Amino acid sequence: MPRTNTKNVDWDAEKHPRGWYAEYFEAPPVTDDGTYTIGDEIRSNRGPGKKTHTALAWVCKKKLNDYPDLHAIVEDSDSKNGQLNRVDKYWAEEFCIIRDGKKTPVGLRPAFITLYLSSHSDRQFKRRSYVPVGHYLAKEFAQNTAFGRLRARIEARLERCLSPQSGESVFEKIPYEGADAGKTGAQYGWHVRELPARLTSMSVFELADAVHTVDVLWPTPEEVEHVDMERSSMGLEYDPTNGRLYRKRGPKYNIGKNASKNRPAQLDTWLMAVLTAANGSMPLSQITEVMLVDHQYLAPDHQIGHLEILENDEGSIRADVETGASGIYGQTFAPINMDMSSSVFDAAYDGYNYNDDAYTRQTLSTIIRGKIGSAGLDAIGGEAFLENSPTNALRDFTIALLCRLEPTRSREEIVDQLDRTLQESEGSNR
Amino acid sequence: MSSNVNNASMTRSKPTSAFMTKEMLQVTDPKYREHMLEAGPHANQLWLVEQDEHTEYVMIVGLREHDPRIAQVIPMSNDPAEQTATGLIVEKTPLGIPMIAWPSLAIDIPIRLLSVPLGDFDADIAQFIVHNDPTGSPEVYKAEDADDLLETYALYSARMIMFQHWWNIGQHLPPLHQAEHIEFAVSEDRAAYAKALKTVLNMSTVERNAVMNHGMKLTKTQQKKMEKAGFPTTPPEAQEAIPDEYLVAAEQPYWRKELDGIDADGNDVRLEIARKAAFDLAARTDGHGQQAVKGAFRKAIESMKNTSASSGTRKSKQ
Repeated sequence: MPRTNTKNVDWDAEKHPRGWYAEYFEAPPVTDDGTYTIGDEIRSNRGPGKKTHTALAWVCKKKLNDYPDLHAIVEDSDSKNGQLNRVDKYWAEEFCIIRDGKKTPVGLRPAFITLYLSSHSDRQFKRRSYVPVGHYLAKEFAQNTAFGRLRARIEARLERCLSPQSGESVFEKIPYEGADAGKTGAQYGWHVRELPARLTSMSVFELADAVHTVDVLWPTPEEVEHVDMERSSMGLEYDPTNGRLYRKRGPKYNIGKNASKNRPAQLDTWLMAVLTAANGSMPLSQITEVMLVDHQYLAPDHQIGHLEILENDEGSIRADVETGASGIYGQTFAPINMDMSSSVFDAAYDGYNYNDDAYTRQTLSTIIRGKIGSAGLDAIGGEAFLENSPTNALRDFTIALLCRLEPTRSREEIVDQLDRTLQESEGSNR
Repeated sequence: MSSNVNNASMTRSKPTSAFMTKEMLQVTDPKYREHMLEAGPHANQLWLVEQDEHTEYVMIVGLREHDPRIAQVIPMSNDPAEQTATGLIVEKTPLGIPMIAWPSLAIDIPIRLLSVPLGDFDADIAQFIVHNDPTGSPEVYKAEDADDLLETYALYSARMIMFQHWWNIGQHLPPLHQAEHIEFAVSEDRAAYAKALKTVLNMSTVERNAVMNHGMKLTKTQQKKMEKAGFPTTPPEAQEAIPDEYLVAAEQPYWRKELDGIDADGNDVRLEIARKAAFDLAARTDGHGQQAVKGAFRKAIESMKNTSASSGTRKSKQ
């Protein structure tokens, strides 16, 4: 039986360009009116002002949800839902300027300058600020919070720990399934080489229980507090001659006794115990949290388990939160929206023409691969770096790398030897 | 190392150098920006390149002689922390702040990606950068590697890949000199078809024009007759040759702000605009001066905006 009481609504595209129901169910279209009042303010102030800070504070507010540790850096925050508070404003202001060792402002942050210059309107400014503000906060979290520093330390240990029998590294960093490497930054986990690579099913609390008995000489809360106090009073050293910022080496506390002749370092033993009990892999942040379960005073501002809510569908932690020491490892501000596996780009990458140097490139690539290992190579963009760098850039990187690894040899010596190697490889291939 | 740093910072005392410089104020003046956009890109200029919210600084080395839609550029950065030994530090820049240039990463990219003009380099400084040789320049010198080698090279690597991606976009621009190619292939087909309309179907000039140019359909009998004679039932599509000047004009960063929002159903917006403008002007008799071309582009953009707005909703409803 056909329905008779329905009214046939004619859709007039002229009257309702977004569909007749849009007015009832959809938010009104946000239009960009093209005004750039933030830009005007920056121009007349010769720097950021109230308007700029407010716009950025909203972005900070959103991003800071990911980093409760950063909240605690600013004291007496009176956070109310849906309102800006001192913390948001503090980080918005910090994003705009850089400070030297005495915490005096020395200039505008380059990312802020770029944001200001590249925007044409307030709306664009706000939209574009998400990425640089996110990077900035991720880096602050990774480098200037107790948790971030502890995590960087554990990462360094995992990377360096070698088996006394085989001399090979004990732990392995693996990318997670489904994490698309070149696109959004791969997500990584750590596991013991011989054990399964799948994500562990155990919680950080279960793991903390399992390794409770491992003998480690933990630092005292007083030691940690003292180090944290000294750290927080340190800023970056600024060199106005070249505009670079130097990070001074800060004081450090010990975790566990160092290795001796007949026994590995206590921290290594502890890490081994955690990852063995896990019988699978874990993101770096969670390994760090296992340590905090019984020793919260190592990073008092960190909320254990908070990072879990930032997990993605695959169970690994989102790449922008899970970063290494530098704040960018594994999330190399990857070229936007670019599918590197796409066939269009596969063959097309010869914007830098260097087919002539095939042998030289091959030799340099072999040296680099051998010297930095696969995790290191991943950090600088993986095989794409070797394939796409201009030849002289590859050569310069190789030299820089060799100089770092062999500090006893002079640069001239290293360059000489490299050139000889390159000539030989070319000779034998001609 | 750290004592050196301290000494250096004491000898030079210009702590405000990195705040908003007067050069920066100059190049962000809306009038200046409008003027530079109208003039179009040229050699030795600093620009911001932008695609999908990703921005990079470049110095333009020059425009390609045979295709001014492509510029050779040298990637740059305003963040001293990103320097690598493969780059140069340039003390004197149009922004009034030290910047890093990577001449070894020089590459050709389409000018449609240029977004914000930021002023001119001094010609001699530009030469030092282009030749990647700072010898003899007080304002350009070799950059150094940072303490964290992997971090800076990770950025370097990502930057390089971004630029190759942009280079690749430049490889797929609409071809220039279209008229030369079209004369031979398709117009001959069309000429033959028009002739067949006369010889096979005995059509008058008026009828033939209606079929060839105005979409008049053949009757079933006529279609059969044409098929028998070995012709399709509809005339071959006319292929339009868009003059180079329109193709080049459509690529100019001047139009960028307005074109960015337009979705031409996956087609190249700039090609569509150039086509519309070219045919609009071809029909006119009152000259094709620069103002006329600009006016035609404006009109084409307006009409594109309207159609893309309405077609966009229809699609989202499905």
